[in-house]
This record gives sequence, structure tokens and C-alpha cells, in this order.
Amino acid sequence: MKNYLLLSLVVIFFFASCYVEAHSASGDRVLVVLKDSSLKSTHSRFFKSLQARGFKLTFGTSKDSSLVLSKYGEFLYDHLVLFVSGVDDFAPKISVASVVEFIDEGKNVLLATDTEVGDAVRNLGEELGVEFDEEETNVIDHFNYHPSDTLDHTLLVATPAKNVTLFAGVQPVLFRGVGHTLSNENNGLNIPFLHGASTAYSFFLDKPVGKRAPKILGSKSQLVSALQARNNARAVISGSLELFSDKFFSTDAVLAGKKSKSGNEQFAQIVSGWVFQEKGVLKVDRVYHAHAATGETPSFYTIKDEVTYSIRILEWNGEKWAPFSANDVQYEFTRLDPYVRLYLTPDSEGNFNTTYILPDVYGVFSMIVDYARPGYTFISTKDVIPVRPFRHNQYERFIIAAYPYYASSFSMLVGIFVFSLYFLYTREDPKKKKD
Amino acid sequence: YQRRVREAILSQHFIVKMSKGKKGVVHGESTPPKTVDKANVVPKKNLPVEEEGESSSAIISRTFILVLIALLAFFTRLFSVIRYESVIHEFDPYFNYRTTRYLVFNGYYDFHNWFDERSWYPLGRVTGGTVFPGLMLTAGFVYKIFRLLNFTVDIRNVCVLLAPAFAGKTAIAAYLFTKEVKDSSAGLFAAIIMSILPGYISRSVAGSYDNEGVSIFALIFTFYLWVKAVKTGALFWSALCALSYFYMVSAWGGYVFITNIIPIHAFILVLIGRYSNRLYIAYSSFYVLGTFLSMQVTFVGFQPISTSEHMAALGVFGFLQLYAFTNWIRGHLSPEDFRAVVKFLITLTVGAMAMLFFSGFLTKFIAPWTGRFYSLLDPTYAKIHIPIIASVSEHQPTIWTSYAFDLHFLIFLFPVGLYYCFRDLTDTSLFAIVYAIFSIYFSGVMVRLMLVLAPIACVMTAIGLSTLLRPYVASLRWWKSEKQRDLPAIKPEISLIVLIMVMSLGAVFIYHCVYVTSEAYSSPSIVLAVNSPHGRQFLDDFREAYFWLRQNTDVNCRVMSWWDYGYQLSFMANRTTLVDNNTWNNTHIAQVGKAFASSEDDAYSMMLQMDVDYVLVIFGGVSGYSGDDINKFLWMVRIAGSVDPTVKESTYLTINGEYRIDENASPAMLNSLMYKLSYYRFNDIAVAGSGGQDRVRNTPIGDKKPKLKHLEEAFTSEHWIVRIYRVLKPNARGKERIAKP
Repeated sequence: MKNYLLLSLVVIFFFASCYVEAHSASGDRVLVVLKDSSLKSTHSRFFKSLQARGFKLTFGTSKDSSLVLSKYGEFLYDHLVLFVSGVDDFAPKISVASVVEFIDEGKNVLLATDTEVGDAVRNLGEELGVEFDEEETNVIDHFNYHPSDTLDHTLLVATPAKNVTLFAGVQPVLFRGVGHTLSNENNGLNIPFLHGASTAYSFFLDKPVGKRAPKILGSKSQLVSALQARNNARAVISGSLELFSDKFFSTDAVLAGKKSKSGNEQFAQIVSGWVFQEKGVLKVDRVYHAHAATGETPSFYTIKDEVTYSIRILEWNGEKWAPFSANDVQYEFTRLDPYVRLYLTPDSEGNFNTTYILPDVYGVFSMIVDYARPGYTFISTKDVIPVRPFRHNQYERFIIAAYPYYASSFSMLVGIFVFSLYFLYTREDPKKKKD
Repeated sequence: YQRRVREAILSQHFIVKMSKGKKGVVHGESTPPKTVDKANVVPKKNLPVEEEGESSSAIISRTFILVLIALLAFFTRLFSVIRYESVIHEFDPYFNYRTTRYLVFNGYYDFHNWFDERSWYPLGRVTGGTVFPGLMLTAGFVYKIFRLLNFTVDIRNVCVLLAPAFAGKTAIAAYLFTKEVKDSSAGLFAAIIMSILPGYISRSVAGSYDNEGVSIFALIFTFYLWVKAVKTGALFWSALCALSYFYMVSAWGGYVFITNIIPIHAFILVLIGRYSNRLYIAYSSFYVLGTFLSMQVTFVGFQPISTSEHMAALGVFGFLQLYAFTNWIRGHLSPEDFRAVVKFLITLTVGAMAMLFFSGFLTKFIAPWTGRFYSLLDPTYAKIHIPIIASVSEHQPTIWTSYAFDLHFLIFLFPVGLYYCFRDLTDTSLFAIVYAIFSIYFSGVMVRLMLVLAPIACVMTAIGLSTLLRPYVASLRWWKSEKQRDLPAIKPEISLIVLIMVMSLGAVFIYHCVYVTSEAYSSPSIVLAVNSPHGRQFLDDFREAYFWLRQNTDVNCRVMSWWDYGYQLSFMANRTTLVDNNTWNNTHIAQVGKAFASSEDDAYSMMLQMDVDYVLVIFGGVSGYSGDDINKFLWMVRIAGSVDPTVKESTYLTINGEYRIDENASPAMLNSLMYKLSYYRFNDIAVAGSGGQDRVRNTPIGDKKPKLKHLEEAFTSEHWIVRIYRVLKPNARGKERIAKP
């Protein structure tokens, strides 16, 4: 009887937990490490929006020695919010190395800091491929500042990156804080989300520019950037804590004389949704290739076979995996160099298909779909399959070009037969032979 | 037609034995040739003494001797099995063994169509079409026979013992060949020498499961049949010759030697006025049949009509037809008309042929000579143009000591035999002369072709020895006889002394052969034996490492190593390799060489492109094993440089042009991947203060603590001979790794 009770309780809890389940594809446990506990109230709207989306937040400050990321080799959280600056460790028991390990295990981090930066943030940034400017520097823009900031011009108004589809329709965002650069711009993993205008630069407020040039200049000055790691862990690095504050959420933004409600709340929601795997999460459901004619998947192909390739990609829509739709998914059939490169044709089920004829080249080929778009999970699949030459009995048996040779060999056969008969059954006249 | 043949035979001043055994010189057409049997037409001067009225006991004893010789040839090659174990040796035999297993377990058609996707990643290799299948088919056949008789032998043992078994047959073939050239007593000499000659043993000890093991037999046997065919002019023998040639073609690329020697012999015979219809029949039927048969081997395909190596045979074939045709015309025309016709015909045909060949070369239908062939004609060719050929130790020019080592006293008796061949010149002895002269030249160009010289050295020595000793032995017979006749020209006592001296020479030779066999040629090279103060020590690092790979890595992972170890890796470790001993794609090998020669960062991007999971290097600095990768490194650089000119040998040498690994080594050398992989952590096991002494190069190493960034050590064998490194995946966060010592 007790067992039944327990069981029904478990069932009830299960359904209950389903009900408040987060919209994230990868878990709802979030640890929030704050610079000091006052941030909890100054940034309450941001945290409330997280909770409203089903995340279970655990708060702590960077002085809280009870905070740990993992216990008995298991991570206690799926996501980490670091709103810290000016500290050597994120918490007494959360070092930079442990956060790096957290990311390497595929978990996600939202890092926001301010002009104090601190060693912990700087080192973590370095691991994530960004480099913060020195302490006490600010991103300054004398052209794109908020009207309320007439003195320093550090309260910037910036537009989120246009190439990231997530930010379509987001209003200009207010930013005040430290800038950073991407140390390895070309690796494709670091994506700028919010960067300064070409007139922005990063420097100390109390020192004149002149003796030393600013380290970060123009549109290279990153305000908010993201890292989509190869293991699909995500991180967002923001140089401004205030960006997520209630104050900025409710301030109006003015850009080029146009006044609008600041996009901060929307931006924060999208960014947190992205980094905690609510948005832009793709997965490969199935990869399938086969002979086009028979539909059988062999262990090897023969040259010039007609082959069907199909990959099913699903996108997390906040509740379930739904078919992904795009028309720029490319497929490559590669042996050191791509021999075939095709656009895949999508269908309504999320399948991307193509049928093509293999090149007249044998070897070990890779069937590759490498789909990397900013804001989406990188998809990279590779199936290695040998393509072998014809078997001896797969060649055409009779070819027209060889007809003369067939004719000659058969005439030879007949000739030998006839001549043998002739030699066997005719006799030279012995008298004639003597002569 | 038949009559014409007979006339030709008779007109060549031959002694024809009658069916009753009488001898008589036949001139012209004076004797009706109705009893002439082709088989007992024998040359005049070297008429075998014992052939006549041979007693059955002589035949029995000769057979018995031959069987003993064959057994001796077999047993003397078993040192490696007794000392080590029944194991396949070296590099190429592992490929042959692997393919044989494939043949035996998957059947012929799968073998014939085998596309091996586990080698030459990602190119793959059409193994079925790029292999000489004779060896595998032979071993598979023997295996099937044993199985049929319910002897459940292991295929490995069949492969291990195949070469010794064929060595016995080679000895018998040598007997047959020499018997045709000279006589059967010389043949016995040739057989016994052949059976124990180090030059041949080097390639035919138990475990040396390579093409040469069976094809030297095929070579000698083909020559025997050819000589027999020329001697008799019988279609039967030349057809057999073509069959034997077919076997040779299917077994070894060295068949090109036959393809060229036989036409040269035929051509010389015509030149010195020894043209006969026997030659015409023998050559024409051999060429046509042999060419058709050889084209049935997939690997050879259309080469016999499209490559330069085979053009000599085709040319001589055409030449013989013309020659025979002119002879035929001569019989029908007056001398003046004949001359005019011949003049016309010659200009016409020579012009036409020249045009044909010229256009063939021009349109590249006739492929030019391959690099290996060029390097035979010009020994310095490969070194300049094709480093990959020059890099193989068995393609190096022969040093003179190896003649003494491999041939021993044969080098003295070789000219003697050659002299007697010239003295008693016949069609057959001329063949031996041609073979001898060509093989002497070729053996000087490439160490490996010593193998081709060895049989003819045996034959020549046997002829020389037998002819020299004949008068002495004859004088000994005087004792046995009734002693009524006069004393022979040589006193029997002197004969006895001479014979004892020759016998002791033979004893020294046999001692030398056994010594060389046991000490030099019986090492399997995958197990190394070292004589240390504590007795003989075995270094089994190779198998240890391959076993580790087999047990601890993913079955589909790709291992990069220098091509020498490709065959062993693919069989013993059963892992995919990038390059192997079948060096068919120079560019791919150059790419691997370049990776080893590059800095770690550059090599890493190359390895990622080639999907490399593990890197294997051979390192002798701890054990003193001198055949390691650092010693081969310059060849890697040269081969890489032959494809990519940015890789320059000089950057890996010191300013003075020395190849060094100590602190004077060039920066490119110290930064190369090969250097780092070889000496990684080497200093850790160095005796304190010695500074990491490399035992092969006998110098302290230059970079004491090489650091690795993109690779990590996965395995190092007991004596550090094999070192395996894992290629790390790119960092998930795209972060540059830090090099670690």
C-alpha cells in the first residue's frame, strides 16, 4: 500500500514537473552567481522572465562558499549565469577551470561583467576566445550615445547584429560597460551579437587619448558576443551588467534622433533563450543514404551508382522537436576534395534530400553535411563510405567498338577448323612431292 | 612444312643419334630423316657422355641425389623457424599473407575484385587488379590440396614454408637447365650449389613469403623450357615455355627480365648466323602464346603491347618473321631479283616500323620506360628524379663485398664457366652467356637483382667445375679399371690431390653458406635479436605495439606512419593506413612525408584533412635499432620535396650540410614533427647528466624537451622502438592549445 502511495506521488510529481518544464532543450537548472546580492533586485525583471520560462534558479554571490558546480562527478546545473566582476574566482568553490570544464561538457554559460572585469572573467573570456579591454576602460562613442549621458558618452545605443536572424525586429539596445575583441575571428565559433558602431572605441574615462591609442576600435569593439562551441555548448559574453537591469529595460533608447522603447528586455530574453538552448537548437534526427533504385543501404557503393541521401534536421521550438526548414543546407561528397556539392531539397517533415550519381572515381568518400549558421547549432555529420570500381562482371559484356575483334576471332576459329579438315583429308600427290 | 624443319635441323651440322644409339655425322640431306626424333637431337660438342646407354642405377642414383638436394634446400631454410617461430617476415610478405588469407577465406572472385578501402586512405587500393596473384594462388592451391587430403594445416604455415619448398624445386630446375646447357653432371653441381647459395637463400628462407620465393623457380624453369624449345624446335616445348612464362608473369614483376633476355638471345642467334627454323618455331610460338597469356594477368593487362619494356620482344618477333620471309623468297628468286626485292622490302618495312613506333611514342600509346627501368639503365637516374625508388635499400647499387658474401667462390668459377660456354658455343650455351652478362650488369645496379644473378652464377660455376674436373675424375677411373691400359695423361695421385682440394673448397663454401643463412638471412625483422652480455635478447616491440593498436583503438581509426610499416599495420594491427609498401601513389606518400617534416601546427592541419587518428613512429634511440624513422627522415624530406618544392632538404641539414640531431641541428629539423615524436619525453629516461644520449646516432639530442601541442602520447613499446601518438580533436571552444612537454 505504501508502495502504491509512493508510486502515485512519483507520478504526480512527474506530471507536475512536466507542467512547469523549461522551454530549454537541455535542462532547467540554473545557477546564478551574482557580484552582490543587490543585483537580484536591480535585475529582477530579467530573473523573473527566466523563472517564467520554467528555469529553476539557484542564487548565490561570489563570496558564497556553499556554491558548487558539481557533486560526485555530476553537474548540479545545466546552465550558469555569471553576473560578476572584479573577482579572482567566481565563487570560492567555482574556479575558472571548473567553468571551462562545465562548458567542455556541453553546458551553457551567460557571462556579464562591467568595467571592473577581474581575473576570473578575463581568464574565462580568454578560454572562450574573447579578450576584454583593461580594467576601468569603457566603450565610448561620441556619436551613438544616449541623450541622458552628455558627459562621458559611455551609455551607448547599439543595434544587434543583423546577420543573426534571432534578433530580427529588436529595438536598439542600451549598453554601458567594458568592450572586448574576438581573439580568433575566423574560427567561426565566436559570433558577434552586439558590437559598437564604427565610431566607438574603448578607453579610460580619466585619461586623455593621445599618448596611447585605444586597444579596441570601431566595429571590432564587441559589446555582446556569443560562442557556439563545437560540442554545442553555448556561452554569451556581455561587457555590461546594466544591459540586463530593470533600469535599462524601462529606459527609452534614442538612436539617430529616433526615440523608441529600448530593446534591452527583448534582447536579454533572446540572448538568454539562445544561450540556455531554447532557441536556435537543431539536431540531426536521422541520416540515411541508399541506392536510389532499391532503397537498400549497402556497406559500399560502386562508381556511377545512383544514390539517395537524406538527412532529417529538427529544431527545438520551446516545447518539442519540430521539423526544421531552410533552403541553404548543402551536401558534399568528398574524398580529400569535394567531388559533388549540392543543395539539399527540404520537405515538410524536416527531411533534406538529394539523389545524385556517384562520380567515376573510386576511393573512400565522406558524405558530409556541414551546416553552420550564426545563431543555430552547428550541424556537422560525416559518414564514411567506400566507393569501389566495377567488379569484373559488371562491365558491359559486348561493346560495339570490339565487333571487328569478335569477327576476327570467330573467323580464326572457323579457319582453323576448315584448314584442319583440309590437311587431314587431302593428300599431296607423292609423285609431285618428289620433284 | 615438316620436311622443311627437318632439313633445317640437318643442315645445321648436328649429330643425329639414330634410334639404335649409333652416332654419325650427317651432312646435308644424305640421310633420310624418317627416324629422327626431335628429342634426341643434341649439339655436337657437348654431347653428354653418360646419356649414352645410361644404366638404370645411374638414373636412380641421380634421382635420389636430386631428392636429397631438394630436401637440403628445404631444411637449410628453416633456421628462422627454429630460432624464432613460424612467423611471416619483414614487410611485403605481410601484404602477401593478408591477401592470401583473403583469397583462401573469400574465394577467388572476391580476391580478384578486392577493393581494399583500409589502405591508402582515402584513395583506397584496387588490390585485386594491382597485385601479381601467382604467389597467393600457389599458396592457396597448396592449402586447398592439404585440406582436401584432410591435413588441417594452418594457412600461415603454408605461407611460411612455401619459399623453402620452392627452393627445392629451383634446385631441380637449375639441374634441368644446366643439363640442357652442358650435361647432367654439371647439372648436379648446379643443383647442389643452387640449393645452398646465400644469394638465393636471402629471399627464400622460411617466412620470407614473397614473390621472389616462387618466381626464381619459374624464371629458371622458363629458361630451361626455352633452351629446350630452341634445341628441339618443338612446338610442345615452346608452348610449355609460354605456360611457365605465364606463371612467372603472374608471380613477379621481374618477368620483364625474361621478356627481354629471350628476344635478345634470339636476336643474337640470328646475328651470328645461327638462325634456324627451330629458333623460328620456338620464338614465334613462345612470343604469341606467352604474350596472350601474360595479358590475362589483370595487373599486366595491355602492357605487353603498350610499354617500352616489352617492345624488344615485339620487335624481335617482327624481325624473325621478316627474316624467315626473306629466306623463303630467296629460295624462289634469282640472286639479282632477290637483292632488289629485299632492298625494297627492307626500306618499306623499316620505314613502316619506324613510323609506327615513332607515332606510338608520340601519341603516348607506347608508354615510356618506367622509372625503375630507367634506373636500371642509368644507376644515377632514380637518385635525381625519383627519390622514392632510390630510398628503398634493396634498390641501392650493390657493394662489392656483397658479391663475396652472396656468391662466395662462385665469383672465381663464374668466368671459368663463361669461358667453357664460349669455347663449346651452342645455341643453348649462348643463352647462358647472354643471361650471365646481363644479370651481372643488373646485379651491379640494384642489390635486389643479385637474386637474378645467383642462378646463372650456379650454372656457370657448375659448368666450369664439371669441365675442369672431368679429366681428373676420368683418370681416377683408371684405378677402377683393369689397369691393363696405359696410364692416363694425369696421374691418378695428382687427380686425387686436386679433387681433395676442390672438395675442401666446397666444404668451406658449405660452411660459409650455413653460417650466412643462420646469422644474416634468417632474421624475421619484426622480432629483433640482440646479442647482449646476458645472452641473446629478443626485442618484440613491433608486435607489442601492433597488438596494442589492435586491442585499444577503434577498428576504423586511421594510423599515419611512414610507408615502410603500412603492410604490417594493416595486417597485424588491422587498422586503416594512409600509405604502404605498395608505393603506387607518390603524391600521397609525399604528403605524409611532408607532414612528418613540417612543424606540428602545419602537420596538424594536414593530419586533420587526412582524418588521421594516430601517428606511429619507429624510434631506435633507446634500443640502438638503426633502421628507425630518424635515419629515414631525409628520404621523407626528399620525397616530399619531389612533389612540393617548398620542402627543401638543405633546411634540415646544418650549415655545413651535415645531418645532425644534436644542438647543432637546424631549426627545421628540431621543429619537425618527426623529431618531436621521436624524442618526446626521451630525456626523462636519460641517465642523469648524459643529456639524452641517442644510441643510434651516438650524440646527445638537441632539443631536450620537445613539446607537443596537438598530439598526445598514446603508447610507447618496451624498448621505445614503436611510439604511437593520438591526434587530439580540435578544441571545442576553438581555443589554441598550449604545447606541453
